[in-house]
Parts: sequence; C-alpha cells; structure tokens
Amino acid sequence: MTAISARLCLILIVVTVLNVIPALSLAQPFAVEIADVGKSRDLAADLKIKGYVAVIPEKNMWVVDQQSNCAVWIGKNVPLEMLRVVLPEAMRFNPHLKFYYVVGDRGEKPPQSVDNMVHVGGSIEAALVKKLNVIDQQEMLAELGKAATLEELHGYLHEKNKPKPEQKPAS
Amino acid sequence: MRRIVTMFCSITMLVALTAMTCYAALDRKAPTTTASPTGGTFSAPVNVTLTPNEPATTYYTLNGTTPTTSSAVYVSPIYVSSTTTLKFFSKDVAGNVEVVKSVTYTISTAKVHDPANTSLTWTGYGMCKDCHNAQAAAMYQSVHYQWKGSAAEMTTGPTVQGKMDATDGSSALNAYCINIEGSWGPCGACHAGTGAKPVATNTPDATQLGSIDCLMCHRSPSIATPYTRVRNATTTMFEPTAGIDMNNVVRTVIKPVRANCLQCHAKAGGGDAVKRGDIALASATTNDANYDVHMATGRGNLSCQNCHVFTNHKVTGRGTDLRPQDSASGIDCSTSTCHPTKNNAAGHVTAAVGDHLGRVACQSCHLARYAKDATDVAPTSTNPMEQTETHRTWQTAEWNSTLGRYEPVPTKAGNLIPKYAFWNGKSWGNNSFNAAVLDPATNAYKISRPVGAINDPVGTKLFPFKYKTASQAIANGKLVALKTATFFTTGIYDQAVQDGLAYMGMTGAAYSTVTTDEYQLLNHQIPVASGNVLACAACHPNATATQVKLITNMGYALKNSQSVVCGQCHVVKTYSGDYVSFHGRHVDTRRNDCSWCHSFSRPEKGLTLP
Repeated sequence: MTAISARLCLILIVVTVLNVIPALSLAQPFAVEIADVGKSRDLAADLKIKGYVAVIPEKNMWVVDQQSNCAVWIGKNVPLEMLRVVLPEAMRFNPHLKFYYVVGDRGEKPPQSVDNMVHVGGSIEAALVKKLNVIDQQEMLAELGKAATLEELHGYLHEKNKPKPEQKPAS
Repeated sequence: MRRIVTMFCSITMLVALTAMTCYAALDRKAPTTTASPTGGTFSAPVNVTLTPNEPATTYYTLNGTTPTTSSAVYVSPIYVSSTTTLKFFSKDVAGNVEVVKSVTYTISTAKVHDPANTSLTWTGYGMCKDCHNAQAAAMYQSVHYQWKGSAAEMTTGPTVQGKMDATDGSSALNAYCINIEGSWGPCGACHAGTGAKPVATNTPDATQLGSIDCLMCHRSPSIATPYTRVRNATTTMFEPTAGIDMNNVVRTVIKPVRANCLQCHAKAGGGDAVKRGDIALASATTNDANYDVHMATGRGNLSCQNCHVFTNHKVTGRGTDLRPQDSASGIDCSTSTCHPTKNNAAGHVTAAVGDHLGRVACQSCHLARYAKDATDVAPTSTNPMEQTETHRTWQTAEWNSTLGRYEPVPTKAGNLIPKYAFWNGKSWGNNSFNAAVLDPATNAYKISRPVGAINDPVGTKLFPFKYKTASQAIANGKLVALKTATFFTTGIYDQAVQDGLAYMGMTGAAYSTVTTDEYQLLNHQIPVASGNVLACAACHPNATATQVKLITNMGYALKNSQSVVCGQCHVVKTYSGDYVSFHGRHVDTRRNDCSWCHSFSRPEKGLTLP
C-alpha cells in the first residue's frame, strides 16, 4: 500500500511538473510594446493568441499615425524565434513599417526591460535622427527566414543601418 | 399754518403713493433687448452690442445653450470672430424677464478658397507662392520661418538672435533642451517649412519660397481628412500623409485657428503644456471659462491672432524669454474692441484698482494660478491636469519607448502661483557661448530675465511669470550646450556633457553641475473675473499676503527703519493694521510722494515731498 501511495505521489509530482513547464515557458520576460496607431489593438490581440505578452502604452506626443510611427526597436535579447513571429505580424498590421533597429547597436545602454522587448511603432523622427536606412519589408522577411542565429540577424541590421554619406538637402 | 403744512404733506404723500402704485402697475412689461448688428453673414469679425430699452441686466451665451441668470452678464461689446449663435435676454429692475432671443452670426472670413473651386489642384508645397508670392516672401523673413530676428528688445547679445544654432552668441539657451545645438531634425518638426533649415537671405529664390509649408498654419482641421505630414524616409523632407485628399485640403485653407497654432506652441519643450505653463492643447477645445475665458469656446472663443495681430506675416507679442521679435507693436488688453474702459482710473468696480493700473499689469491680478486643469478635457496619465514642467535634470535619464531613447527627467506641477517681477518690455538672456551669470537672489545661473525694477519710469509694470529651473553643466564659466543627441542615445550625462564641451571648443574641460533658472511671462489662462480675480487681501498687508509679499520680496519695504522714516514728520506711531487707511492717510490725504517713505517714486501720480 505504501509503495502504491509512493508511486501515486511520484506520478502526481511528474504530472504537475510537466504541466508547469509549458506555463513557465510562456512566462518568459520578453514582450511586445505597440504604439497606439492604426490596428494596434488587433495586432496585440493576435500576438496574445500566439502566446506573447503584448501591451499598448498610452499615447504620447510622438505617437501620431502608422506612417509616422514606422520603426521597430528590437531589444537585443529578444530571441530569433520570437522575431520570426512578431515582425511578420507587425508588418501585416502596419504596411508602413520600414525601419528596424537593434537597440544598443550604436552603443546605447537602455534599461534591461528594453533589451527584452520589441517596440512596434517607433517614431520616424527618431529613426531619421539616428540616420537609419529604410529596409524593404520583403527583404526583412527574407532575412528573418535566412538568419541562422540571432547574432546573424543583428549583424545584418547593423550593416543595413550604417549611415550613408551626408546628402545636402535642397534649401 | 400747521394745518396747511399737514395738508400739504398729506397731499404730497398721496401723490407719491399714487405714482408708485401706478409705476408698479405699469412696469409689468418685459424689457426688449436689441442686438446690433442683427445676425447675418459677415466678411470680418464683428463686435455685437446688446441694448435693452430700459435699465436691465442682460445675460447671454455663445455656445447655443439657453442663457439663465447664471450666464455671462453683458458689460461690453461681444467680439464674434467665428460663426456663433448668440442667445440673450434681459431682466429689468422690476424683475420682468424677456423671452430669450437667438441671433446667428456667420463669419465667412476663414475660407480663403472656395471649395467649389474645383480647378484648384494640389501640385506640391510650391504651388501657394505662385499666387501668393508677396505673402510667401513676407513669411520667409518672419521669425516664424527664420527662427531668429531683431533682438531690439534684448539688453544682451547681438542685434539678431534666435533659436538657430550659432557660435556668435546669437543662439538662445533655455532651461529645457538647453540649446538647439545641431538638433535641427526633431526641432524642425515644428518648423513651418518642408524640412530644410531656413537660409537667411533677403532675396529667397523660388525653391526657397517653395520650401514654406503654408498648410502648417492654414490647414482646416475641420474637414474630413485634415492635412497632416510625415517625413519622407529617404529625403527626410516632409510630405502629406498618404490617403489625404490634398485637393480638398488646398481648397479649404483658412486663416489659422487655435488648434493649428497649438500643434507647435502647446507642445514646446517636448510635450503638452511642458514649456509655457499657460497654454496647452486643451486651450484649443475647452469650454471651461475658468481655465481660459478668452479661448473658451462658449465665451471669448478668440483665435490667437485676435490678440497676436499679424501684419505681413509678422506677429505681435513676445514672451520675455524669447530673443527675437517680429513686430515692434505690443499687445494691449484695453483696446476699443476688448476692454476699452479697464485702463481708466474708474474702469473697475473696486475703486482702489484704479490706483494700481499704472504699475500692475492686468494679468497680475487676473491670473491667480497657472498650469491649471481644464475640467472638460479628458485627462491622460502622462499629463492628467495640463501640468507644466518646473524642473529638468539631465543627471537622471528615463527611457522613451516611442523614440527609443533616453530623456532627461522632468518635474511637473500644476495650479501654480506665479512669480512676480517688474518688466519694462526688455529682456536679459544668456546665449550659447556667453559667460554664465549667477543670480544671488535665486542662487541659480540666469537663463533669461525680464528687465525692470520698482523704480523704473512709467510703463514698467509688475507681471506674473512661470519660474523654471534645470540642472545643467558649467565649465570655464560658461553653461555647456550639452549634446542632446548623445544624451538621448546613451542616457549618460557625462558623455553628453563631454560632447557638448567639444562642440564649444573646450574638449576635456572640467565641469560641474549647477542650477539654472528662467522667468517666462504668463499671459494666457485668464479665468472669468468674478470669483477668480485676486482680492486685495491676496497681496495686502504683507504679513498675511498669500499671493506675493510685496514688502518682503518686491521692494516695497520702507527705505529705512520705521523710527527713521516716521521720525521725518512725527514720532513713531503704532501701525493699526488697517493698511488702506494707514497708506491712504499718507498718500491720498497728505499727497506724500512714495520716495518719502520708500526707495522709489511714482511721478505719474503727481505727489510731492512734504
């Protein structure tokens, strides 16, 4: 009887652990932050269904519309697999997305939470101040599929975002 | 004889009683109030007068609601600058109430282009100058476009100053982002141009005139898809946001409305209400007359240019902290169209106010608080009550997720009591590359100051100001134009200061961090006078004053000890505490000039020394 009870307890423990593991994997610290423009709520709902934490912060003066909020700030720790899900969905909901930048690529040291976050809908003003370059969505999607590692993707974005030589604008 | 007198009195009383009875019987008629002009369509703003046919109080509304005896009381002509329905009635002294009347004034000045003009087709920003070349040329030379101009009202710096970056001492510092210093891109988002930095030239060519974005100020915000713009990711120049019917935009351009001006002016300093303290985005839409009676939609509903008159695209009015001026003309509350009697000695209900007019600006008494909450505007968590920034530190950074960058940490506050200072119309400013000047009175390095003193000539008045401080770096006796771009990227104060030092030719110099401060003139957010204007007790007497202590802080103290001052004429007497009677005995009765007791004079009052 004691042996049976012990086996039963063991089974219960194993079952419990097996149930908890997926929950732990979902409780990862990574998240998606979405600027409140266009179909941001649809995107958030879509990502939540896929198991990701998605939040829409309150608007500030730099949150304008899909065209003006066309940058994606990528936290350096965000896994490649997550980017392979989040970025195509983000592009589907905002066809104007055209800047993709790994935060920290130019030496920035953001708060740790930023390293673990994808921000969809960064301001074009910030992208232009950083002199980022436009990356075609199809090219970005292709690279997401092609990159073997996160480092490879970061390297690609680093090269694509190298500032071009100054062009004097028309006065 | 007695009988005759008694009879006369009785007859007189009888006549009087009869007359009173008859009068009461007769005055059962409601007053009749006439509006002039009677409604209709007008090509310019109108001043509407309301005239009852007998002594009566007239009540009115401008927002379409039915007036009651709690509504605004008519006291002077009503300025109607946009299409408005005026409703009014009068109540006479006998209590007879007139039926509410309604008159609509349609003001058609706003529409410059007829929407039916279907031949007008958007061809690009340069199209406006093809018909309005003179206006484009005038705009090009304005402070709104050049962001610098005549510094005739500055007591410091070169003759031309402004916001644009320069190393010749003409580039203004402030206690917000400190200096534009290479940050044209984000700052230029509020420039009325298509993205290019303005070039100072007396003879702009067609391309330069075509770089003016007239729609920044002249777009109609009330059409289905109003004009907005977005930067072209490749050229960095602005272009209309996709999906906008630009033909409709150019066919419906208007003279600027508040919402257009406030898109930039309310967001100055990096966010809603951050910089000015007396204007916010709420100023465009609020109907809260206690927030701003001049702009409240149901009250004054004034557009900005009703006060800030434009002539050839040059605007009147200048904040004390602004270096350039567009026009030598100022703004006066007592114009014939607004408050014509309020600059007269007997123009206010409280007689004593007349004694203050020469030395106290209207807004000093009429603006008890600033950075107020517009009660009918939905709050946001980032700025729940239209609060303004009172301090900014660059030593601590916080992350802005939209911009993907660090920003300095602000301290915000609302419902603030202004600081007061005398202002003679001139300003003092510390510009980039100038030697820093410590103000012993505030123990902070001065960024800008109104110029004026208690003993200045007539015309200098006491004004209310926003007081703003910041933590900034100083090296070799100069405030450092910290490299904001570095700070935004790294959040590292030291690195941003080092880059700023390099920009200023002081690479590697030792620096420390000091407090800077500035005064910014307050003119807006004037509430309804009734119940809001400062009472005498707010400032008098000094011991119990809650708004400003004139004797302690503003120079109104006696010029010497009480025994010495009083001893000039008599033995020291105990001050009864009745300020009005005490002061009145010496000034109004004996006509003693102020300088007999104080360190200033008031020659305009015609007083004399004993």
